Amino acid sequence: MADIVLKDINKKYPNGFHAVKDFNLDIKDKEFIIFVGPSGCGKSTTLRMIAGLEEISSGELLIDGKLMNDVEPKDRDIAMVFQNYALYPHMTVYDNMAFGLKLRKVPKDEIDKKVREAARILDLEKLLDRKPKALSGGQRQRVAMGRAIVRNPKVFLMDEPLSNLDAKLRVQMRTEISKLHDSLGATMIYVTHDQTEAMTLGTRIVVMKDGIVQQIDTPANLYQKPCNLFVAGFIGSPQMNFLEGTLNADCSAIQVNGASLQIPPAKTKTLKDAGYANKAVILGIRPEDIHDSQIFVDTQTSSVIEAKISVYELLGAEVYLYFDYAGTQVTARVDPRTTARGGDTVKFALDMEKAHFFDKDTELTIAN
Amino acid sequence: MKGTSFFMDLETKKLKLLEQLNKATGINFDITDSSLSDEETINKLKEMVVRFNVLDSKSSFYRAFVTRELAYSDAAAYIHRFHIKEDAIRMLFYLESQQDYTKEAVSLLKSLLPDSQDALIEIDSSHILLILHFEKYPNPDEINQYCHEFLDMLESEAFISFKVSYDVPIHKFTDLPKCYKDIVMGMHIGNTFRSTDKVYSYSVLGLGRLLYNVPLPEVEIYLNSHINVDTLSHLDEETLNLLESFFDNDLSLAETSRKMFIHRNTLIYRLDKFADLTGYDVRKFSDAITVKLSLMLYNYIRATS
Repeated sequence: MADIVLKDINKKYPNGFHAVKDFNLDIKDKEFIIFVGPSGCGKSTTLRMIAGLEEISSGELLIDGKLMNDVEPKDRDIAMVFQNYALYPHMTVYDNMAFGLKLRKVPKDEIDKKVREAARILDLEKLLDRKPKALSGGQRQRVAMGRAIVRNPKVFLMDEPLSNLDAKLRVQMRTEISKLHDSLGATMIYVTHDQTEAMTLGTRIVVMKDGIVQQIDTPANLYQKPCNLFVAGFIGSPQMNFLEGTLNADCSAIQVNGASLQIPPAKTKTLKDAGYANKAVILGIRPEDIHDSQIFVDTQTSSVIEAKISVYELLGAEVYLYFDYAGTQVTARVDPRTTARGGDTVKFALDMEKAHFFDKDTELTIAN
Repeated sequence: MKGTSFFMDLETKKLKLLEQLNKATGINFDITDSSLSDEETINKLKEMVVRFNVLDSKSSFYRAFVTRELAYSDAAAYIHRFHIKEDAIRMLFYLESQQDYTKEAVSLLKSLLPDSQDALIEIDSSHILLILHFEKYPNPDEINQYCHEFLDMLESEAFISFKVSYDVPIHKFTDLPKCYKDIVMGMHIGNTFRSTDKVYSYSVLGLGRLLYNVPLPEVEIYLNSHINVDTLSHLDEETLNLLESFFDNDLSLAETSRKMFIHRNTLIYRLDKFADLTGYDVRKFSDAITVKLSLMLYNYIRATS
């Protein structure tokens, strides 16, 4: 099994493009680490540097304490699973899984043992004689994973392996990958741009943007304590709402679009200590922390805003209400029993205990 | 014929051809008649190579044919000998590896080509040409997907990173050399203007194909009269990424801020900052064209220097 250490890793291309900047991370054995971020953020490049498919411009990569920078990819004891999985059309599932081992001249009986074990783990035993065209999308993806499993690697690297599957299959495969991680007990690094995948699979998540690590944390901490505006907006769906406002002299309230919203004492102290009195800041509030129920509005009178609903969306278990406030579109996630509809003017109570405050210029978090 | 390409200088080409002649005949040839031009000498040598060289495999025949070392008029015997269907729908794929590829990578690719009409030609230690046959004209999305699949396959199974360029399917056998030349050129253009992509379709390289043919002095004149190289070289990656994304999203503020996960006001602030620095407001279509062109030309200069 494998501990992986990335020390000050940089990737700079010959044309000057600096794709990854000072990446530092310690991955413990058996961890499930997720690299997440928008396209072009450097997450796949980092994974490819770990695999050896991209050269490391500077910094050190260690697997189990051994420096890997100049070790050939095939000698790093890793296996990769990609989004596009080409199966040999003229070979059976068994042969598809065995092919890589045959190329490496692994003895036949060992190949057989490994293929059957991988098939058992992936529930492919009954499909071993089938050709790829007789398989569903999910089954094909499982064969592609089988090809990685038979190598028995120390580390699994997965680059958006579910992106080509439809939404339903993606959810199903997500669970399968999670189970696979538990049963194999291997270290896994998984790249995705989908924050839902990141939140549900990872033991820790690395959020990246423009080649720079923004935050490394558990899913819960990323959601509740984002370190900056980008992480706050990236993690969570629908995304966090951001409103510009100005704090009062003792930071006990923030003025947003004419409304004065009272700030809880703990956050007031943090804002005041950081020197934000009378300053403009960005208030972040998640859609589920904006309430339209009468009880909330009556009890949280110091944080009520009024707005006209532009769109009402019923999703079954919840309702999204969209409205414009302070020049920004705001989303509230409310109970499906709400009586509010599009065109109604509604009072909303903001749960200020859950509010986040960001510096307007640096976009760093001031208070969570 | 290993290593022959369109971008080789004439002297190297001559030496390679002499080497091939030596290999085919066992005689050491030398060039003494200086009255011939370089081009003429090369053509003469090619003729001799074809006359003496035994193209003993389908791959060596294809290599000679696509690199124009073997003329169509001399190809008939080989087409017959290797049972090649002339009137088939074919596509050429030119693969380039970052490091020297291995035998394992070749085996993997061969196993993806079960059709006996398909061919894999090892051009040199980092380039492979695939000639694939199709029953009917494939659609562009299928081809793109196919390319990504075999690149991912090579990475996950052989741990070698390749790029690929291709053009539209061809029907005439005589079009093979031109198609080969185009996709080799496509690889160069792609590496210059879209270096982060792995799959280049020659037919959709668009503006890159046009700009690639502009002489460097003209490029410098254009840049100096709009956004000069010095200014462009000082732009940070965040700004460059943001501009690329803004262009990719059809100059839409809402879509760009959504895709980049930044606040709309932050995007506006950064675009204003760029406008202050360069005098070009990319929210205006004409300014956006100038900036897009300037960035492409700047990449071109960087790639050629």
